[in-house]
Amino acid sequence: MAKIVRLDVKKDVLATLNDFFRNLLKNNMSDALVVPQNLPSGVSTVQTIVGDPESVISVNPFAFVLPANSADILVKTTDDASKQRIVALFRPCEMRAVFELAKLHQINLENVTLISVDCLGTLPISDYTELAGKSEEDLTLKLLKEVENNGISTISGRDLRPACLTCEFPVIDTADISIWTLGLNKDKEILLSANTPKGEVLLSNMGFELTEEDPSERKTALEALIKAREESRDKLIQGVKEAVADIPGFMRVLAGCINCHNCMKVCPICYCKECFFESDVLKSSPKQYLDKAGKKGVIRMPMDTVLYHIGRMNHMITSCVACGQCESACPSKIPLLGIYLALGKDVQTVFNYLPGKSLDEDLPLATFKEEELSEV
Amino acid sequence: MFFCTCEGTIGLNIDMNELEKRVKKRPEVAFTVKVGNLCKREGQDLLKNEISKSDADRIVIVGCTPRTYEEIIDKGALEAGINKHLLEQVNIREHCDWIHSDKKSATDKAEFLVGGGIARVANALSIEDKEVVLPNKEVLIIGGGVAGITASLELLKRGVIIHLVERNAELGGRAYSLDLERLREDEIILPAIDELTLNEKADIMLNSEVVEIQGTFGDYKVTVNTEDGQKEVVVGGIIIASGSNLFDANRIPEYKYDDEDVIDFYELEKMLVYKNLKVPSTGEKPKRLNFIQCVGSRDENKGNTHCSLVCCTYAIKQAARIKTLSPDTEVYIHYMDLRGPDNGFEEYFLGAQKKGVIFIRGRVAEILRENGNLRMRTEHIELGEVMDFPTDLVVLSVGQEASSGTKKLADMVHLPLDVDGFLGYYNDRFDIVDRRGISIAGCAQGPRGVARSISDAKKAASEIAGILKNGLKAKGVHSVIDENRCMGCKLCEQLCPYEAITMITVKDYITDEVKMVSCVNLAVCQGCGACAMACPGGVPQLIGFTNREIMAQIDELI
Repeated sequence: MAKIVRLDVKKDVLATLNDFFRNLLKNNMSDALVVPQNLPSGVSTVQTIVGDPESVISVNPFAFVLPANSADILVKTTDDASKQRIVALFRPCEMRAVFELAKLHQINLENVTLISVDCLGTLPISDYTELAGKSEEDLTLKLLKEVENNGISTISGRDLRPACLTCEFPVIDTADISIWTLGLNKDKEILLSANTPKGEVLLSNMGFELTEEDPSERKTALEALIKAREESRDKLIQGVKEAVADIPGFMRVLAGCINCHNCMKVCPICYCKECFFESDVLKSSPKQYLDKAGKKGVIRMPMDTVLYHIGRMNHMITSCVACGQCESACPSKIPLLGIYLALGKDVQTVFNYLPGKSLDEDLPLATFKEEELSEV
Repeated sequence: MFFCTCEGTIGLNIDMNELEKRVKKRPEVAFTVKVGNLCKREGQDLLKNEISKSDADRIVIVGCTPRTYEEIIDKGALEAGINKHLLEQVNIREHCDWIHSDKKSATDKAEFLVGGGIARVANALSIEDKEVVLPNKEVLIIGGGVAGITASLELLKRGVIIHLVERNAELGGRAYSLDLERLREDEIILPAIDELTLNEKADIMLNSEVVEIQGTFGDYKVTVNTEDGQKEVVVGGIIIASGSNLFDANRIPEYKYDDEDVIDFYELEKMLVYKNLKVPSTGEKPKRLNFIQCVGSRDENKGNTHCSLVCCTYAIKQAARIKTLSPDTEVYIHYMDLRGPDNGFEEYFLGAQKKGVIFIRGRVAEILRENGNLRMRTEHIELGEVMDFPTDLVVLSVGQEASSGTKKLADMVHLPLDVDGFLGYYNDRFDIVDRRGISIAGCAQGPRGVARSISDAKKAASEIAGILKNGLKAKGVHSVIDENRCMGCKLCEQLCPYEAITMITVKDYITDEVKMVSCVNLAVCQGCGACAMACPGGVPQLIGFTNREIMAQIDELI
C-alpha cells in the first residue's frame, strides 16, 4: 500500500505543481529547490536552482525535452558539510543517476528530499525547440493531450529519443516522493506518493493528510508502457550486438569518433575531477609521436579514440543508467546508447545489480566477495 | 642488457643471436652481454663488472620469470650501484621460449617483450624504502587472561604504555583457576596480576568491552564501554588475547552433563586445586572415575571439527594427580587417539600408565543413570566389543572453541576467521606490517595451553614494541594519492585489502567545498595496486608501476 496525497487540479496540471513547489519554499519547508522550469522564451525547459518562492514560475517536469541529465546539480550543491535543505525534482533517469552518485559519495543526500515524476519520454532538443517555436499554446499541455490520444512512441510525427523509447524505468518509486500521473486523469488530479519517512514528513509538515491506497490504473498503464519499451530495447540491443559482433564491426561503429569527449562531458555518472583520457598520462612529446609513427609505420589521428571508449565503458558500465545523453551529444551519431545497453545488460546481470534502482544495493566494484565469477 | 640463457635452457625456440642483434640497435641500449646463469655467483660477478665498466644507469635482464630469483638479481644490481626499481626482468623463458615452437614468431614475440621491458625501465623512477614513524606508541590489549597479562607486562618492561580491556570483573582468565605442574596461580599468575595492577603505566579496564575500532596501524581509535561509561583510547597497535570458550557439554545430551556426577575437566580441576576430590552426589571419594576425551572436538555432527590439542595432555595430568591424591581410585581414560603436541608427552603418558591409569581406546556411546547407578556404554576397540561400564564419576574433557565475541572482534579489525572460527588465519604467515599492527596471542587463534599462550604473548609484545619504537621501512612500491584530484568516491578505500587507505576531510582552497579524500598510510600499504585499478580517474599512482611506465610498455607490446 502506498501512502498517498491527492492534489486537485484546478487550472491545469502544471499550475497545480507550480503552486505545490512554490508553497514548499514559501512555507520554509526547504532552503532551495532544484526544479525544471520553462525558459521565458518558451522554447525549452531547463533545470533551475531556486532560492525565492516568487521565482517559482513555471515548474514543468512533463516537458518532452531533457537538455541535460541534471543529477550533477546535487554534486555541485552538496558537500560533506552541507546543512542547507534542498528539495529536488528529477525525472527517473536523473534520479537513478543521483542514486549512483550518492553511492559514489559525490552527493550528500542528508538534507535533500528527492521527488520524481512519471516520465513519458523526451524528444531530441532540436525537434522540441522547433515544435515549441511554432506552437501557439503551451507545448507541454498540448503534447500531453496528444499523447493521451495517440500513444507514446511518436509525438507530433517525431520519434522520441532512442533512450526514452527503450527506457524500462519510466517511473522510479524509490525517491522520497513520487508524482504519479501515469494512467490517471491529469486534468482532474495528481497523486503524490510518499515512499520514505523523509517524504512522509515533508508532506505532513505541509499539512497534507496521507491515505493508504494502491491505484490500479497506474499499475496497468505502467506494465503496458514497460512492456512496449522492453521490446524496443531488446530490438535495439540485438541490432547493436550484430553490428559489433567482431572487432572490425566494433571499429566500424566507433569509426566516426572525433575525440571531442562530449559523451564524457554530458554523462551524469562520469565524476572524475580530471578525466584520465584528458590527463598527462596520454600526452606524447613531439619525438614520441614521430618515433611511434616510425615504429608502427602509421598512427591514426586523433589517437586513442578506441582506448577512450573502452576505458569509459570499463569505468561506467556498472553504473550506467541508460539516459542516452552521450548518444544525444555525439556529433557523429555513434550508437552509444545501444552499445551501453547491450554491454550494461550483460555486466549488470553478472553482478545482479541494476544501477540506480535503490540506494540500498552496494556498487559491484565496492563489494568484496571471496568467491566470485569463477566461471568468467 | 643481459641475456641469461639459464644454463642453456633458454634459446631452444628463440634465436638468441638474432634477438640480441635486433635489440642492440635500439638507442637506449648501452651494451648487451650473454651470460649462462645470473642467479649464480659467477653471473652476479659478471653483472657487477660489466655495469661498473659502462655508464649504463638501468638494467634489463632477459631471461627467466622474476618470481624465482628476483631477490638475488636485485641484490646484484644493488651491489653494482643500481636501484632495484631501475631494473626490469623480461621473462622470455616461461612466457616465450618454453611455450612456442616456431622459431621465427618466438623470436619476434621475444623482441616485443624486450622492447616493452626497455620502455618500462626507461620510464622507471629510482625508489628508496621510506622510514615511517608511527604516530602513537601505546598498545591496546584485548583480554586479561594469561596471554593478555603476559603481553602487557612484556610491553611495560619495554616502556610501552598499555591499555588492557577485560570483559570480566577479574584478571587471570581461565588459567587463574588451573593448577599446572609448572605454573601455579600463587607462583605465577597472582604475582603477575599484582605487578600489572600496581604499574601506573597500565590502564586496566575491567568489566569492559571494545565496541568500535577505527583507524589503522599507528593510529587506532578504540571505543571501550567501561564501568565509568564510554571511553576512547588512541593506540598504535593492538594485541588480541581474547581467549577461547570451553565447549558446553550440554550440546551432547547422551553424555548427561546435567547429571550431578558428570563434570567437565574444569570442575575437576577446582576439586584438585583444593584437594577436595569427591563424588558430588555422595560426598565420597570416587572409586571408579572415567575420563571421556574429545567431548565436542573432532566431532563434525555435534561439536567442532578441530582437535583441541591440549586435552590429552591435560587429562593425563589430572589422572596422574588423582592417582597421587587417591591411589585406590580406578582411573580410566577413554580416547580416540592420544595427541600430544609438546615435548615429553610420551614420557608423561608412560608415567601415568605406571601409576595405574588405564587407557581404553574407543568412543563412548552414552552415559546412563539406572537405579541410582551411573553406567557408561562404550566401545573397546582393542577387545573389539561394546562394554557396559559402571562408574561413579565421569569427567568430560571438553575442548576449546572460538569465544563468543570472536566474530564481532574480527569484523571490527577486519581479520578473517579460520575454518574453525578462530582468529588464527593471519598470524604466523604474515609480517606484522601486513597485519596492520594487529597481533593475536593465546587461545584466540586456536586451542593451546598456558605455556604456548605465554610464548605467543611474548612474541607479539616484542614484535609490536620494536616497530612502535623504531618505526619501519615502508616498501619501495607504494601508492600515492593526489588529494587535489581525488573525488572522494571511496572505491579505493573499500577495496584496499590492507586498509591502508583512510578518508581525510579537506577543504577546496578555491570553492571552500568540504570533501573527504583518500589518504595512503605508508606503514600499511603493500603496493598491490588495487586502488590504482579501481579509480576511474587514475588518481592513485603506484610508485614503481606508474601509468607512464605501464603505458610505455604497452605501447611497445602492441
